[in-house]
Amino acid sequence: MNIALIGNPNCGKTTLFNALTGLDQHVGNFPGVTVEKKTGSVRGAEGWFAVDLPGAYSLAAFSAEEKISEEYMLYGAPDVVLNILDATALQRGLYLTVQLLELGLPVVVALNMMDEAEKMGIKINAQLLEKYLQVPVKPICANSGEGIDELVASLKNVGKQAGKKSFQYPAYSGKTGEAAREILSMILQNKTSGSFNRLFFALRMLQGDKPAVPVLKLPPEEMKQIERITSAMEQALKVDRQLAVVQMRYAYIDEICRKACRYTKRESGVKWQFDSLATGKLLAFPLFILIMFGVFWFTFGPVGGRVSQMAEQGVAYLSAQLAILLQNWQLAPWLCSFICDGLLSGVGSVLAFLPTVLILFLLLGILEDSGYMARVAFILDRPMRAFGLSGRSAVPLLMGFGCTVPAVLSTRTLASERDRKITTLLVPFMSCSAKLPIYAVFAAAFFQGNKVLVAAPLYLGGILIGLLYALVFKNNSLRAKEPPFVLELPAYRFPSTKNLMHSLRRRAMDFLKKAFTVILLASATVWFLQHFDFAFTYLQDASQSMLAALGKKAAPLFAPLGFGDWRAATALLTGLAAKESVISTLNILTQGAGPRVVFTSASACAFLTFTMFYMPCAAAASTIRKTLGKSGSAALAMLAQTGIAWLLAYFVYKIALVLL
Amino acid sequence: MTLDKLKRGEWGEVLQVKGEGMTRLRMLEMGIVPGTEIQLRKAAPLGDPIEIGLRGYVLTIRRNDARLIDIRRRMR
Repeated sequence: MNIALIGNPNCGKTTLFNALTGLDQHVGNFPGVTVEKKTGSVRGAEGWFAVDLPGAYSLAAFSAEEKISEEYMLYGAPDVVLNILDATALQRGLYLTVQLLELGLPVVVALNMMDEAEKMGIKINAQLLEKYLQVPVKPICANSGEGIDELVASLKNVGKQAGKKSFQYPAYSGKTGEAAREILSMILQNKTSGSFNRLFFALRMLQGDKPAVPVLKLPPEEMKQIERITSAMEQALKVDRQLAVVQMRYAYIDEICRKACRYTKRESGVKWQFDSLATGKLLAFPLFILIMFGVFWFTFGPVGGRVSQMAEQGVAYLSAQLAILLQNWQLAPWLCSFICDGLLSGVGSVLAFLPTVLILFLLLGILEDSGYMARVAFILDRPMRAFGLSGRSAVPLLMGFGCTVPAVLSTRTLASERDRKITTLLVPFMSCSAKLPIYAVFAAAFFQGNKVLVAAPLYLGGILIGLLYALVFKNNSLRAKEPPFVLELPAYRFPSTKNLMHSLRRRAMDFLKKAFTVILLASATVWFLQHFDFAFTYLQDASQSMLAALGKKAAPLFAPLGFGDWRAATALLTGLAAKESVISTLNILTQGAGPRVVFTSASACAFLTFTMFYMPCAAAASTIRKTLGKSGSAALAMLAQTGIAWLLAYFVYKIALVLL
Repeated sequence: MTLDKLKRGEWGEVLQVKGEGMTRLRMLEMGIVPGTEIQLRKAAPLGDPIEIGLRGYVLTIRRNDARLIDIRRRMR
């Protein structure tokens, strides 16, 4: 049995999903543009799966993300639909609900955030709502888990009856409702309409929605008949068809709310004290800069620095202990070297950065969950438009500092194709957290451990070059009609520790999985290529190895940048598997001596610049390819980025030679 | 008058939503239909976009789009 979770963005859907599936559930991310949805098995309900769909305001999808939800509702045949409503914005949430009912889907409504609504002076009677909607309505608190058991019981109940029980359409009145029912009866009489015999599709035809026409293959006479019905309705109501349908739904919703809700205050939305600061004329930008500065200070400064130092020492201690243990076992020297110099030093050098990466993700998560990110989009919309972007692009870009993959995925919330593509192209210019270890190791080797001195120019440089890059696309063919910027500003909420921990846990698991799969494999491969020649004889001297031969082929490309050493070229190559590999590879190839053996101060600067800008890792590249569509344009983007990286590194090297 | 002409804190009643296609549909579906009361809550630091309140929730829209919404000022 599949339970599809659907609701407006920000209604607490993911929190409810987590509450339903539990912390220890396996949560899989199924890739592929049409099926980008999370699935998890429901706690205490054998054989029941919850499907977390992206937030949507309507089944007339506007963004790529909404399209996923729309298609799942229309063609995915869910066994039960769990519709989550935010009690503080009930009417807008019900707009989606009535569309689900028009589709005749087996719906259970979860009424979330009742406590917040009551604070705003809205009192909702769930029983009355249930009576008028004619589907179960369960008040819950997704954060505390209150009401979840009753909800699951209700879902099971509806699921068992699914298909057997007849459904009831919303009782739309007036001319629009009559016209819709007239069209529906035509559809029902037509044998070719198949599973499209629902009120929802009749309304789509009435509304004049183009996509509805090809799916509903009606003969021309019937199409003409529909047109006659529609024009008659327009004349009688004196409004156009688009407005007529929306207005009918809202009239129906308003009527239900009048009966089931009591409003004690006539304010529009709560007042937020903090908001006058966060979006005020004077302090909005200084505050934004301060917050971003705080995030990076926390990650790189004394706090994050101390944590990563401790982790480094821990990892070093553990691998030293393991090495002693292995020596006691008196293994063959090559095996000992494989485990210690290959696997341990490779994986270990990366593992030490897990805490730093988690700190960064935690802080970005707090910004997102608290509702501040939406304000960032609000205040940055105007300045971003100067670069041909929209304020909404700010969120994926900020997330890019964490990891390119989720950042690129989150561009799906953008309404226009153009914004989506350009933002996707820009995300890799935001230095991802996997590059942190590289900066840290080089800072320790060349800049007295001053991470800020290393990281700040790289981060800022990335943003600057990214914005310049955006200007290239501002006036080109990607430009299309600007979509409206309709953005919801959610109430400020205190981020729930449970949710933050849940996503941190997932991040940590992803990181560990990467360390013990991709990076382990890369380390093993590097070690193998480094210790054997083409005749597969075991070598002591790595300079005769296969790896050296390969690296030496690539090295001349980097000679003008000051690092024509084969080890640098090899490190960059393995960085394509995962950026952390740059450091693990360098560590293996220099037998733990670090980058000083390979680089001068000037060439280190050039190398850092190159690593900041060159093409992202394979995982990010494949996500970018999915978003950009045609694989050709993604390949071009990767090539362009690497070209930019080479040029910048060249200039940095020349300048550094003079200065250092 | 149009929605963007309201002053901070003022209310208006929607008379008509202009524009076309998906853009108009989305504005309508977000609850901006004739008869709805809307408050202009504030503008972004650089004057655009604006923050509006309706039906108990808060949205932001750009001035360009707000110009498509005909309203009548309402005293509350």
